[in-house]
Amino acid sequence: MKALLKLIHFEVRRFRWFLFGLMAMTALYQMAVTVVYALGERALRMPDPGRDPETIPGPMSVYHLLSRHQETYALPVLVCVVSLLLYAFLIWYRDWLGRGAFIYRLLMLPQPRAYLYLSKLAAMLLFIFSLLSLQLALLLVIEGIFSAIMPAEFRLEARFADLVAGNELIAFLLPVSPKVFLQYYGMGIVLLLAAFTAILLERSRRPAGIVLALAYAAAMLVIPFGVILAGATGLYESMGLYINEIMWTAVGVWLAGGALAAWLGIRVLNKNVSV
Amino acid sequence: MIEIENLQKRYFRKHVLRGVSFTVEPGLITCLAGLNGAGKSTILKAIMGLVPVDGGSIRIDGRETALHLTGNRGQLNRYRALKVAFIPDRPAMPPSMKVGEALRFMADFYPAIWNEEKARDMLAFFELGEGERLGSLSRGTAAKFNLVLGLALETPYVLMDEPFSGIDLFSREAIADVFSTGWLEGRGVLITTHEIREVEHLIDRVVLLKDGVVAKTFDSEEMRLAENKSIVDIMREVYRP
Amino acid sequence: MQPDEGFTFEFNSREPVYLQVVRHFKVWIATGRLKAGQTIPSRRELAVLAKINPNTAQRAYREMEEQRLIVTEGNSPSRITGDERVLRSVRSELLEEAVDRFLELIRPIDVSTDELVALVRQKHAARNGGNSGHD
Repeated sequence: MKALLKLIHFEVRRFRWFLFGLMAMTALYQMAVTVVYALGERALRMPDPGRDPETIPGPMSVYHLLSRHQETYALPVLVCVVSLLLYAFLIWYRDWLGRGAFIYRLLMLPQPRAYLYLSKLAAMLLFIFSLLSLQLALLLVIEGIFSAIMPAEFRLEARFADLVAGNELIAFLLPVSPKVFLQYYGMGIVLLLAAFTAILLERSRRPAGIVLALAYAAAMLVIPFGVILAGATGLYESMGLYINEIMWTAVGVWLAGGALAAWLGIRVLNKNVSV
Repeated sequence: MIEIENLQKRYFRKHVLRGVSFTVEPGLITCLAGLNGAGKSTILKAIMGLVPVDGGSIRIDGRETALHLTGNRGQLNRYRALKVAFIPDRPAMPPSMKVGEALRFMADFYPAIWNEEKARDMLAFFELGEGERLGSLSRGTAAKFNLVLGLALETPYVLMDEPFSGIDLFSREAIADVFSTGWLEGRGVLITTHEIREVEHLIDRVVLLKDGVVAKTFDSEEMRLAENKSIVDIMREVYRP
Repeated sequence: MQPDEGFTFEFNSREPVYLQVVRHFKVWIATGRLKAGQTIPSRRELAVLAKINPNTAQRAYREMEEQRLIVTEGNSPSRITGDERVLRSVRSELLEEAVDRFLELIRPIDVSTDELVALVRQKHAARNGGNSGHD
């Protein structure tokens, strides 16, 4: 157990500079952009004898700021998302590539190999949630900057929920409803598990490995599409299921998929994986 | 004793191992020799569970450890790790790690068998400093450090994959010297190497691999006593009849 | 017994290493480099000194103990035997071995014993310079 924590610590530590880089980039970018926009909005509203009073905009809230500049605020977030998606694969492949061949060490450790799988999973989750937390904190910082720059008469109040909703990408990544949050991130975790398992399949019987991996990935996609298709074709209605039952079935299918992915991945790690 | 029995391994079409059987006796230094691509490295990795084989059995001190037979379940990974130390032919640590960090890594994950004092002694013997980045070490120095990482683990068996390959003369001498020290004493050592001459006087037993099977096994001193032949002589007989 | 004192080992690959170690000791005994009763290194130290593996060193010591060249009392370090008979026989053994080898070499050459002895005497005297007293 303690060794698992040590492995997680190791995985987090080896990624820390990149993570800090992502965090710093996101923070600086979003803050800088806020300063620039806020100053601009303030300038727009400054009383000016030369201007027609009709053209001077009324007070605004930070929500408007965010929603008016979707791509700008979304950009660093997108970079983070893509980076993490890449690292979901790199976190494994980096151990095989290069002179290091660190995978030798990892597989030879006296601890159960399942720890390797779990520690990388835990590390990824930590990265994801730390970035999410950062974004939430940044929203507050953005509001603070906005309030600092815009005088009270140009400002409207905004609720925190509005802040989140202001940017489409952020709103997508941080659903307000806990149920939706669990749903999305639950599915995401299952997909992450599937990705891990596909990677491990590829790393087992090469070159047949890549075929296995793709076959597995295809099989794993059957779950979401199957669920959706079944809904679309009215299969559920014909079976006389209630909404709740459909939902719980879907949840069950996803959980089973996740469990299967993890079980298969760990099994491959123990039995077939090859340096 | 490590008992290898009827090991089989195919790579695509190539049938690399066709039923290899031999043993690694405790306390003796056994050399696994063979031509390039004979599968020596594969055998070591198979013992260590780094590579699955297609058939055969690998028993370490009586317990079956082959992946395909056991699924590596139970505490097998731990059992294997505590019994056998593997020294691969490449530094198996992230290049960005420093010498000291690598030592702490081993101490962290092998608390039961990591001998810190031995590691430090070996570090001094090889004149290695703690602050160096592993990626910046020369090939010879990296090989020596690799040895430290393996030998400081108190395991009854040690596997070494080409410890001399591609290494400068003086590093090779330093590594050969290790065989005379107490650091290997009492341990069953299995080494693969092309540089037989480097270790001719250090080896107790020889296992010759040819065409995927063991062509000959012998005790080097017995062979010298009985037939006045060196290890190289026998190898010439077997590989170039 | 250190290399800088002249105790170096050279091995060929065709004779058992442990027997070659024993022969080295015999030569040193015969030449007086190793004195009767002198302590010798432990098995481990010998392994490092000779650059052989400790099993070989062990075997060499066992052989020397069997041939009564060395004695080990309890836990103390081993020493060269003090037995005069053994020491003398080492000397004669080496001499005989050398002579046998020499005679084997010159076997194809047709030479009488007298001629041989005269030649040996001449060469021996020349080597020892003004050193008399060794006949």
